[in-house]
Parts: sequence; structure tokens; C-alpha cells
Amino acid sequence: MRFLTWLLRAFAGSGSKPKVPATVGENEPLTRYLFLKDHVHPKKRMVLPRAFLPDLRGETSICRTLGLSENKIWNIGNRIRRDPVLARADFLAATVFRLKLRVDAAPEKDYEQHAVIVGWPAEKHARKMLAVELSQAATLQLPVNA
Amino acid sequence: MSAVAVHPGYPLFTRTVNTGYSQESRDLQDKVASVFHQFRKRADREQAFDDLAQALQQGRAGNWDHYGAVLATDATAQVAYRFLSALPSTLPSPNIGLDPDGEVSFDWLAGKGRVFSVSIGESGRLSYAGMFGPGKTAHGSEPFDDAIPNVVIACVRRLGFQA
Repeated sequence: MRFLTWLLRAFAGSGSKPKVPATVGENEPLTRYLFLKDHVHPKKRMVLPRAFLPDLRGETSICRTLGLSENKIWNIGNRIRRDPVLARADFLAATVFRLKLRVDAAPEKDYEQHAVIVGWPAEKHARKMLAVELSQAATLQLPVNA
Repeated sequence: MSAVAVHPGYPLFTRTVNTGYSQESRDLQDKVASVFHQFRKRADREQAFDDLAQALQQGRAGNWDHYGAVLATDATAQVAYRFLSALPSTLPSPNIGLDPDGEVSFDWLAGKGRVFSVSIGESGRLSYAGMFGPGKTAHGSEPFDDAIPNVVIACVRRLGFQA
């Protein structure tokens, strides 16, 4: 029985209730981790629209940051890839909903805060418009040592 | 007709101070400032070509954005170079990077909430979107036939860059 409990925990998480709710609330803070130099204009403290364009699956990967400390948010960004995170684009879920896009929780192993922006239109110019809106609503955050 | 001859050893991109007082001196100052402005713009455009080459180089590596982005093709590179070459010299040079679908994007950032972005790929079709202040947006698609569409020029000008 003990072994079975251990096995369940190993494959299904800690066994306790997940800390991150299944649905994304309107007032939830979100962040897009930025790893590419050409996604950021540090001098103007601006995020480039291309940073929000969806990948080929039609998803823009983001992190739900409700209740997380600044340190924790940066730490998550720095461990999801080999490269260090260059910057973050912080915004509210309400901005995404206003643009008629959705935020789906997409928890991953060791990254339960992971979510994706979905519902992007088929036309490139319409996707670009939404990416412009998101980038302009977002606040650029740079690491303290940047 | 008047001309300004600049000595080859003159430090072009440093601050200049005019100690003259006459009208002629002021006219000359304006002419020199205009020459410097042209040099700066040319250097700015050269930098944009370098940025484009760098972006394309990055886009030739597989999975360059770690989210399965499409590679930048030679055809896309050719169209992007043609687009940048066709940009009127009166427009500021854009910020250049790649979109996840392998297209090249040219972006003008005038300030928070004042942004214009154009993407182009091997199809030769331009997709553009811009924000020109609160609630003022425009987006659409245009063919690119080696001439920058008027709507693109108008949108960049609408951002209100200072010359």
C-alpha cells in the first residue's frame, strides 16, 4: 500500500490539492518569458509585438504568477530553458479576454503555472494586431542585474 | 547653389558648437546639421541591413525560438532585403526580427502605445498592424511588388517620429 501511494505521488504529483486553480481568473497576473534579444527594446522599455505571436500550434506560452514572489517568477523562467530569461512581459488575463482570446491552463511536470494563450485568428494581420495590443498592454520587466 | 565640404578627418558624430553670431554663420550651421543628419540616417539604414542579416542567420538554425518556429528561407530573405531596400530614406529604420512562422518583421516603436509592425515572407504579401495611441489601430494585408505600399508609409508617418 505504501508503495502504491509512493507510485501515485511520483506519477500524479504530490497527492495534495494542486496549488494553481484549473481555470484562469480575469484578474490573474500573467507573464511571458522573453528569451530572444529581438523581442525586447530595453532602451525604450518596450516589448516587441512579435514576442506574443503564437507558435505553429496556435499557442503563446505564458506563466501564471498569482501569489509568486519576484524571485520565484524569475527562477521559473530561468529553469524552463537552458538559456537564461532576458526579460518578462507582465500583463493581466483581463487584457487577453478583452481581445477575445483565451487563456488555457497547461500545467507541465515541475511547471504547474504554465498556461497558453489560444484562440488566435487565421489571418496573419489579425494575429499581428492582437500581438500589438498585448505587447503594448504588457509591462517590460528586466532582471535586477540587467 | 551652395555646398558644404566636410573635411575627411572631421568627427562627424560628435556634438558641434557654433560660436558664430552672423546670419551666414547660422545658415552654415543649418546646412552642416542637415549633412550630419543624412550621414546619421545612412548609418542607421546600414545598421538595419546588419540587423536583418543577423535575424536571418538566427532563423536558419532549427527550432530557433525553442517553440518549433519555421526556418527563414532564402526566398523570405530575398523579399525582406527587397522590402528594406525599398523603404524611403525619409522613414526611420525599423527594428528587425523574425516571427514564429519564419517571416521577417519590421517594427517601428515610437513610444508606449505607438507601434507599427509589418511582416513579410516568401509569398511576398505584407501583413501589417499598428497602434497610434489609445483606441487608434489599423491592420491589413497588401501585396509587395518592390514598392512600399502607401498605407505602410502613411502608418509609419502616423507614429509621429521626429526627423
